[in-house]
Amino acid sequence: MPKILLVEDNEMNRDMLARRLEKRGYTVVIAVDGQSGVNLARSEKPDLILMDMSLPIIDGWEASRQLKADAAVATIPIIALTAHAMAEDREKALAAGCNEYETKPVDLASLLGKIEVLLRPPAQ
Amino acid sequence: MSRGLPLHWRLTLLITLVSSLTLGVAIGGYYWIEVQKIHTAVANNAGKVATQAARLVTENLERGERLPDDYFRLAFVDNENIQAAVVYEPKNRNRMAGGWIRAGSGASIGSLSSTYNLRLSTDWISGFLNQFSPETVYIQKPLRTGDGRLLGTLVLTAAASDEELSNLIEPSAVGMLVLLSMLGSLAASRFLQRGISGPIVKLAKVAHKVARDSDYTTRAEISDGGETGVLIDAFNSMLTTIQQRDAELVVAKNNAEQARERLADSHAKLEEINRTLEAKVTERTIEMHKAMTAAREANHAKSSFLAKMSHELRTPMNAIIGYAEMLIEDASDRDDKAAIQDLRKILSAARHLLGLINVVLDLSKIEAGKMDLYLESFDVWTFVHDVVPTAQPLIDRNKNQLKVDCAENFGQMRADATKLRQILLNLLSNASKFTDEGVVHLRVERDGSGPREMVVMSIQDSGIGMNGEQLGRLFQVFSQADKSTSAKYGGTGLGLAISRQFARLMGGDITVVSKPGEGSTFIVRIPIEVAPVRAGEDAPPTAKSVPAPAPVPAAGSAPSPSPASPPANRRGRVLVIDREPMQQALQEMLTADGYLVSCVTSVPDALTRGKEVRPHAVLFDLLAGGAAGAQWFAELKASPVFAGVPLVLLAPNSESHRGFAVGTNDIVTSPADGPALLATLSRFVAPRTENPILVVEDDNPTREMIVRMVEREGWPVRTAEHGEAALAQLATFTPSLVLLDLLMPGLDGFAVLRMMRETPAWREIPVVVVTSLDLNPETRQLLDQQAQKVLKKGSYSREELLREVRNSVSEFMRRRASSPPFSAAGAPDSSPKP
Repeated sequence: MPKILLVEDNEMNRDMLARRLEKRGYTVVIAVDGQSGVNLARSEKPDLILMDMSLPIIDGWEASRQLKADAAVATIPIIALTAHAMAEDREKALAAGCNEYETKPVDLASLLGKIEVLLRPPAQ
Repeated sequence: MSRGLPLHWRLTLLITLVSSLTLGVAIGGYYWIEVQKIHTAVANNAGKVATQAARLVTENLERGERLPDDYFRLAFVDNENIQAAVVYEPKNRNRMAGGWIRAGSGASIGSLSSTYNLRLSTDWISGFLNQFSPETVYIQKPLRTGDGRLLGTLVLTAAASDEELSNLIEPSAVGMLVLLSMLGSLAASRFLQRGISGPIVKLAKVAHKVARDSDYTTRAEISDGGETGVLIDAFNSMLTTIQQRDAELVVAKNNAEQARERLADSHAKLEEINRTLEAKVTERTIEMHKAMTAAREANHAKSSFLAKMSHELRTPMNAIIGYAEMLIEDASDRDDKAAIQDLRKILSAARHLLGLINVVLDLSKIEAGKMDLYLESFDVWTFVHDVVPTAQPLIDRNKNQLKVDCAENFGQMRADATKLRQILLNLLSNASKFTDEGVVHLRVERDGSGPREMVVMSIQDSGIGMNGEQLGRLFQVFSQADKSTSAKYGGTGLGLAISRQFARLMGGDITVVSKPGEGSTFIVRIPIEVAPVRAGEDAPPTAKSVPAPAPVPAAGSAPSPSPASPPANRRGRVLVIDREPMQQALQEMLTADGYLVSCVTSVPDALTRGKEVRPHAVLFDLLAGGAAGAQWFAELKASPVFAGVPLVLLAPNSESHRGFAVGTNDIVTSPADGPALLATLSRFVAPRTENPILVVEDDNPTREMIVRMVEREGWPVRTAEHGEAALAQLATFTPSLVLLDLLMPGLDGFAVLRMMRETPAWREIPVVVVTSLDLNPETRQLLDQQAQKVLKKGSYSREELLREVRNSVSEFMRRRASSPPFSAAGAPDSSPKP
């Protein structure tokens, strides 16, 4: 099953999202800050990254930038989880290299749809 | 009397004349009176004598005696007054009976009648005084007897003697008297003058002095009374009047002067007040600005607080909703219906709360002017029928029916779909909320009657309706028809306020028609083509261009427009693709730096405009495309319109957009740092220069290719086919750059370069070497020292060449501006080039 790296500092959100994803069969790897997120992405090579933007140490935008700048992990799709409904944050996320975004509170159906699209093999 | 004589002389003459006349008359009168006295005496004497003589003669004649001849002589000879004495016979008056005439008297004795004509002979004095002398006195005495018989007539002639008369006046005495009297009158006149003319003359002097010195304090002396005194008095009083007037005049003049001074003073004060006022106005303006800034900051702080709070509230909501959903999933798995019901209530409440939070966030964004529009084109029919299913559960809740009227071929509109959807959902939800078992009717129509074509969506319900007072408060934040309404129907009343704000943001509005008991109709009007706007601004046209020379402020100042400016196209044309708010700042900045700027908001627009503008560079903000950024970028690169046109990308962070670097000339981190952006642009768009670029190349095709490339950029070009020709050209003009081939017949590129660097006038001219030679390190080092850049034929791109050209021309112009005379420039530029 696809492996998803969830980078989220808020414990409840992390726990809830991880459990719901796992319930749908995904393997979920957890990181609680931007820096460990980047590190885990490099070591675990997940199929997809769910990245919160407001993170300690380095924020989600910076982490995304670093990941997209690293050829080894640049191809891993990133879905930004923006708590801000502000459009700037969305655009900032896209500009930072994220492939998609989902506004918090997460609409699970919508998020699952996006995950599926991004995990679809490019041949299709 | 001459009128020209001085007064005192006139007076003297007058007095002398008058006194002389008086004297003459006095003397004459006196003489005449004396003569009359003598005459009277003579007459009396003669009368007496005649009476005596008549008695004697009568006695004689009575006696009949004849009178002795000597009788009269003897009788009258001693009486010197008697001139003659004759007796006429009574019968014959012409016959003398006897008589006597004094010898030498001149008297003649004729007949009695002629006797009266007797004249006394006179000498010269007597002759002079003849007119004054009394007539000779004739006394006639009839000689009668006692009985009355006339015996004859005695006639006696008497006259004053010459001696008597001549003694009467002494000529020398008279002359003396006259002389004395004249002297006296002179003296008198002198004396009189002192009293009469003296004061007048003095007065005249005083008057003259007054007239000459304008000294009105002088007074004439009053020496006596009378008319002179009156005159002097009058003169003095006139002087007093004049002096008084003069004093008044001086006072008036002083007053006028003071008034003038006061006026000037007032004027100065007024000016001072004006200045103060200006200062105050400035001060107040500054204060106002401060207050406004403070207010804006406060408002901003409030909005930012709300945004932050909303975020903080949203995070736990996220968890609540998420866990509730999870638990519902688990309960469904267990088929625990009771738990599902309760959990759904939690979920519903949580979602409602989240909705409120979202609304608050939206409101705060609108208030902060941060609410942006994300415009997209969409099919209206599809849009409406996407919304309906979402609204359906709300409609069904009160057992209402939803009727939709929208033409399937309605066509497209361009608006913020998310916000329009929110508006529509809100209005449908409202309509259904206040209607039970009724009909909610949604109609979508076009309205082309106004200046802009509008899409009109009306939502009519058959609900409870509203009265005027309720309608008035309808769109206010947190306002429902009344408290009981809110209790019965729920909701916060925020939805309508937000909806209207959204509609207005899109250049439209929401209106309502309602009557209590007859339902309400909400009408949404949105332009079919919504203009991109910043919140709170009027909609500008979708694409703006600035063809007119735009103002350029002095170098180093803020990019605010300033009237005095060089032509805007001195640098070149730049096409900016960015969102509306960004455009303005970029346009100002670029225009200020001398670019001619055209702005569009999208790449499709850019492709159209690009054909007209033919820009020297394109500035593309990746964020302008939003999610379509990458696609737009691809379109931009694929378009033949911009083939070969330098593209500068504005991106949030250059590292994250490495993918775009291929085919991009440069990436500038946004928000654009002014100097960095200008520096980047100037590398691709060189300043316009009148100094041509000299292309020195012996190979015709290569030369022509380079010339075309450079000319396309808008620079003037000159060519030289070999080294000698290049030096000849250099002697006639100063190129802004020399593009130099190395291998040429005759004088080669090395020689030309060396000569240029050795000649002070050419030392500063930049040189870019374009060569096909494989250079050994020594040669390369030498060239690096002498030329700005060495490009290897076949290995450089067109862009690379043009970049070098731009850089070098910019450098040339910069240096030229700082040290105009070339020959006076310092050492050759031998700094190593990268």
